[in-house]
Amino acid sequence: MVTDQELLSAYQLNPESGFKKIVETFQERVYWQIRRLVKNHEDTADVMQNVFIKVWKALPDFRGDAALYTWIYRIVFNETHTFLSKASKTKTTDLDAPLFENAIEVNGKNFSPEEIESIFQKALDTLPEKQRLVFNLKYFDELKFTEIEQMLGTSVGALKASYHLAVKKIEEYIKAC
Amino acid sequence: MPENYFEQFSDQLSKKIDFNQDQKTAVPEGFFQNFQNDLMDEIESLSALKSLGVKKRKSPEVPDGFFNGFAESISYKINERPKKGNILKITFWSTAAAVAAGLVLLFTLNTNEPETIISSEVNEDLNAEEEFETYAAYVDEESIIDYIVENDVDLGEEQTDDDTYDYVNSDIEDIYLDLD
Repeated sequence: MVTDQELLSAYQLNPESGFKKIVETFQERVYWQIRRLVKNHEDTADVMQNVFIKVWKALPDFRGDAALYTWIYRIVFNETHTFLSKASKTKTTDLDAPLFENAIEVNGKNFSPEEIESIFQKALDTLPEKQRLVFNLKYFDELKFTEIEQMLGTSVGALKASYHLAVKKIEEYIKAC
Repeated sequence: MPENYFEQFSDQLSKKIDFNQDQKTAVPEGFFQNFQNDLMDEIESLSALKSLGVKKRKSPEVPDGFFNGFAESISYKINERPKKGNILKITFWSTAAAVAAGLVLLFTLNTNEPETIISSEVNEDLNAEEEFETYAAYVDEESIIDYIVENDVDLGEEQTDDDTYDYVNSDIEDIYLDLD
């Protein structure tokens, strides 16, 4: 995996080719983060384009306080939620199937896959940014903790703690519904 | 039996077996130390949310080659966008035109003659540049869209919400990106 330092050095050396490397490195992660919420390819591609245009515009001001992907993830989160707030006013067709394939029963109440997903997304939104990011990378993208460690620059121990807390909070949120 | 078969047998067998210890297949450093940890992590993460009985669905399809071409297309897009140095003038006129359209939409499109009003308002209001510039400092894409959608402003025949977004976005999106 290419490190942030290598990507930023490439960007400083030649902004356009360096930016292209950044896009190539993170595009799949960004794509799936968006698609899980936007739920169709075309809109995901539009939002992803806006995300990377914003990344390009903001890169000169990136100070490296956080890992590059943590910073990009924040832009992804904001752009996706901006899109969804607009999209909720329009008719949307051809949505992806729910993230979960089965209905479940919690505390005697039955939830369809669509209902679970809606509750699940709300639960995710209650998490601190870092926990949400770690949960997404581990649970959905199925990255190893060592890969997330390289991506975010956080130790495996801290990542495991974040993930464990996130899972607990999500389970509790769903059980409380 | 060939002559000297048994004398040569051990030599021939040695040639077929690689006794060279240096050519052992390489294993990445730390593989065996990490294997157990990775495996336990994997088992633990697979069991996440299992207590609730939820099962993840397989990821949806992505069009073939999408990721191969994306970086190239976004690089093209950023090169296509105007440079900061010559944006000011373009931004002003684009903003003025967009705001004019916005103002017309906001205040006049709920009459029954939208097309004639748009063209006449924009053409006649040549002295309104300063007014547009001031207004542009406060107006944003979302508030115009919100106004149109929430008030069901009629933009013409067979108007849908998607048409509204396309219409407004087509004019304002670039300006919005340049202003923020």
